[in-house]
Amino acid sequence: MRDIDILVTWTPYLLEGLGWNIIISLIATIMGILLGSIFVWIKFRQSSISRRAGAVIPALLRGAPTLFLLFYLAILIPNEISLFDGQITLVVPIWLKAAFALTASPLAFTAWNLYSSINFWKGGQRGAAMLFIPNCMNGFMITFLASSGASLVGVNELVGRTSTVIKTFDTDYSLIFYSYAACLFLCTALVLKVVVRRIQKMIEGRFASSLATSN
Amino acid sequence: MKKLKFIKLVLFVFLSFLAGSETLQAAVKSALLEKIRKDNLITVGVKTDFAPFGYLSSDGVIQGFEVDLAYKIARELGVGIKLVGVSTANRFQRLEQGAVDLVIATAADTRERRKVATAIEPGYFGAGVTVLLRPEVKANSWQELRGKSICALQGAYFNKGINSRYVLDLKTFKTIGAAQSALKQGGCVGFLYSEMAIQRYLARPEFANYTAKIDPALIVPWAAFLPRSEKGTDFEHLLGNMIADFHRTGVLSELQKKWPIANSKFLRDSRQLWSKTDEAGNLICKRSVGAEWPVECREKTFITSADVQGVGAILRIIDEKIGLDFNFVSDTYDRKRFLYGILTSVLLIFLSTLMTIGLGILGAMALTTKRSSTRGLSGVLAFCLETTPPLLSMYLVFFGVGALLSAKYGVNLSAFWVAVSCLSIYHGAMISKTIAASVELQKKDDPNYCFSILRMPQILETAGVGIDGILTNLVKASMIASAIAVPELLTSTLGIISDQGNTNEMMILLFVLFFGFTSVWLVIIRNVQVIIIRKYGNQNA
Repeated sequence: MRDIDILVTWTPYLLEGLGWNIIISLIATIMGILLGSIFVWIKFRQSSISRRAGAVIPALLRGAPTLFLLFYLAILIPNEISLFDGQITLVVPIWLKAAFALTASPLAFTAWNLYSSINFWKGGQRGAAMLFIPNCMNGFMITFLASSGASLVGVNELVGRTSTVIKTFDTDYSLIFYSYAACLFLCTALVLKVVVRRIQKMIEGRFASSLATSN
Repeated sequence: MKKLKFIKLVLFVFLSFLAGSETLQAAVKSALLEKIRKDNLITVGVKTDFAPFGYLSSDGVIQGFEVDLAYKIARELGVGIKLVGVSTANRFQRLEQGAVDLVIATAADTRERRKVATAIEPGYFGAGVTVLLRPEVKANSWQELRGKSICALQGAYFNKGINSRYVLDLKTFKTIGAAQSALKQGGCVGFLYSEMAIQRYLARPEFANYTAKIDPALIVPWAAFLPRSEKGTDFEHLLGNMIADFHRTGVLSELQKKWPIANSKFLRDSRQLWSKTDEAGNLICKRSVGAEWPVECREKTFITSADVQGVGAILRIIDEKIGLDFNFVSDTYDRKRFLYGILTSVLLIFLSTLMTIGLGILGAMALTTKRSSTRGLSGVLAFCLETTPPLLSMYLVFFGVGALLSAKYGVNLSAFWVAVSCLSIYHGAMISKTIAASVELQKKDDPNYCFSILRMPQILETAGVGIDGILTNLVKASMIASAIAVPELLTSTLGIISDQGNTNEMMILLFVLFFGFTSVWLVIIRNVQVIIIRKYGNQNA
């Protein structure tokens, strides 16, 4: 079997893995934005304690290495959670634990950036405020790349699947398959970059006057 | 009141540290041993239903590994032997009632059992848990099973311990039968259960081609037990010395071969431990009359603050009183590997930072050059490099390129340098883009502005914050090096967790250390930037 045929045969399996990377990153980014927004809301409160909590917790999460969170949450969160005396059992799959761990980075990002965006908005600099959206998408790309680390705790995403395929064949295929996986990451990142550019241009066009003021 | 309690605890810790004394009690004479010698007979309780350790042959004779061991003990004592069949349910009752003098009946040595009987240290055998793997699964270590679906028995005592050490995806079933059915139907890749039971399953035709190559974990020693009243007597010590000798001389390994029992990790490790000698050739695991075995030879589970001294005692007290297990600090091997992990991480971060800055500056030169083809090409290259996850690039270089170089030229790549290079290339690409963006910003004011190393102080004024962020990420990303077995901090932490099971303590320590690394590193980088800007900023603007 030629190398190219082998790659073609395994492409659907690997693409499914890439799909998991995207799903995990999406969940992490959405949860991160939601939780980060809560911290921003806390920051706007009058009480100095809540303001401090709104700043300290995201700062701690920002300093936590992703791999540390992946391992710790994989161990800390039980695989099954029993409710109502064991009548209902909630299964927590490993990919969901990984998504929780990857939430830390977008959470910290939102907590830092949404606060200034809201202040920009209040000050009439709507264009500068709206740049939060493409920045979030850039954050999504960072989370997407970091999601490859989930393979180390056993999530069956692209890198994990690539290693499995290599084990099935032979280590001679390592170079081909890992290069192919890198290409898949690159293509996805390219698509994301184009989307981010478009959104950025759209915002710049729509809020051109306010962006000029903010500059 | 609470304050008083705390002061008492601190005083206790301090005094025990100062005293550093190990209570040495001379062993008392054993009444039981005297009786055995007088009667010229020892009565030993053994199993009759657990082959190959103790079971009935077709002609009704009790035989097995433990029976042979009982005979050897009697021979060493120079007395006759009477075997009495005991069961799991009644073995300790029979001992307490005086119906048997000694029990050798597949009894695991646990804290609870030590409350009702006297365990002989060391254990004569030990068994842990392992995984029965489906034929197509090629795993040789627990690490290879991370996140994989493993069937297990609901409520098994080892589920939690194994999961917190090796991050498995355990699917628990109410019965062994249900778990095994799921395994056969492919509902999971393996079945987590007692090592001894799995060895028996492997002999069954239904599990032909299944394997169990993973070294057992959570190994619990099996001990011979004397009645509770024999604690601290010369009989307890005599039997302990005998069993230690059986390990050293290979008597127990021979018995393992005779009763075909799968190669036991416990026996392998024990033989090595009890035969270890110092530079002068003296045995390390030996004791003077009446004393306990040296701490490094004993089962860690049973060591208390009274058995150790100095820092070890303080850590044990903290563990016993507060429940925080940092005992690894007093274990020479664990302490060394943890310190080595810290050192490797610091070195990895330091070298990667230097290389990242160097590559970032080189990349920025290429990205801002006047030649458009070079600019375009380097732009594409920078994009490719910054969108390849460092983990993937490490695999690509270490396993892909490394395998090729090894096969063709016999060159083996160093995992450490692969990690340094991959981390530097990824973050270097980011820094080069940040610098290039800063140069573009300067060009708005001065269209003839071009990048040069002498203008770095001025560029740092706008790109400094971005560079800080990238270098902070570099510190955090350095943990990825553990994926290619670089012995850095995460690798050593996970290793200690596997051995000690102190997940929370180690993970919190790891977080604190990395938070410290990041903060200190950031302060250093910012100060260096400030010095550069202040000293050279105006000269080269």
